[in-house]
Amino acid sequence: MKSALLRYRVLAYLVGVMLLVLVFVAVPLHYLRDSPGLSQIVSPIHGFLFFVYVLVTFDLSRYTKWSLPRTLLIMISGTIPFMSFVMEHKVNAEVTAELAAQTGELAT
Amino acid sequence: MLRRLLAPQMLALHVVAVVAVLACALLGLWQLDRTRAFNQTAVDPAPAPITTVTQVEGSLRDGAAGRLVSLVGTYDATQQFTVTDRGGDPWVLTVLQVGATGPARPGVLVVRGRLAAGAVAPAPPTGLVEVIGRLQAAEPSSGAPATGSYELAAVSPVDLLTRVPYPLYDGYVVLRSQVPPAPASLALVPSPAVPDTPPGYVWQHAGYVALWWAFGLFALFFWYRLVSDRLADS
Repeated sequence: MKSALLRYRVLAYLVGVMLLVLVFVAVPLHYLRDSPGLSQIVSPIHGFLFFVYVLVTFDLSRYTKWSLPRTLLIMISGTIPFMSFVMEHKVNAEVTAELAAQTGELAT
Repeated sequence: MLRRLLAPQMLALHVVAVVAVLACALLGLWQLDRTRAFNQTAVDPAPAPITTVTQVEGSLRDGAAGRLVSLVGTYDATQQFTVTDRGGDPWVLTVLQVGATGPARPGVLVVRGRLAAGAVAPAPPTGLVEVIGRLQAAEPSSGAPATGSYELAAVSPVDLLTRVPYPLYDGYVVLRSQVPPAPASLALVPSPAVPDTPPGYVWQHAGYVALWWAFGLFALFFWYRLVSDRLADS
């Protein structure tokens, strides 16, 4: 579960950063400056990373037993600028607390 | 088990799964279409009247360069030139005045064809002609030809402004067909349609095809895990 959380966090960061580059740099360059070069490189990479993000989120949800709406919400938050960082922070705090509780139970 | 599979909540899940998989499959097909668009050969729309795509002493309208255009008018035999530096034999360029009569009718540069080696440029047909050809953006000016010279180094209306006693349309037309027919000593200069390049790269759209279908497969897998989990729970 710990490594699943780490995988999720890495991908959430990557997808979040790529999305910001896409929305605030590449797409304005493409449509306002008519220079599509950057967006044609960043867009497919972002698409692929988002797919991996969805996979690792699903993997994490197997451990955490999230409800379906919750899982979908976390997946979708990867497509909203800044939201993936907020969600990653929340998920990390929650899962870390749960992990601590589990190890606490084991210790007693 | 069948009854549990058909419970209302489960049915909703099935419907959502079918919609998601279908949507991904169709989005993948859409990107596949865009990938294929790269291999398409261009198809010309019907010729547009010259007055609708370029302007007298103005500039070509957006998307006008490369279009087939039609024009009706009279060649001005006194404004006929040869264009050198065309990778072989020179081109023959004649100014065509659009419209039927009147000395001030605006002119269009028409590349009538390539001159056979050693031949003398044939005079243009007299009287009203109908021309269909491809409109091209003017080449950069190379300076007006010296008085008395009928040789041009570039196909540019700007270069002829001081020579031609009436206004000129921007761009030039490469002759494709003409009524009455063009003389045999002139070979038409080829002007194939240039295919519109679709936005993006081939591999980009091909990648999106794979990505959409991967999402579709994932939706299927997701649905399968959800259903088997719920069956195991109850």
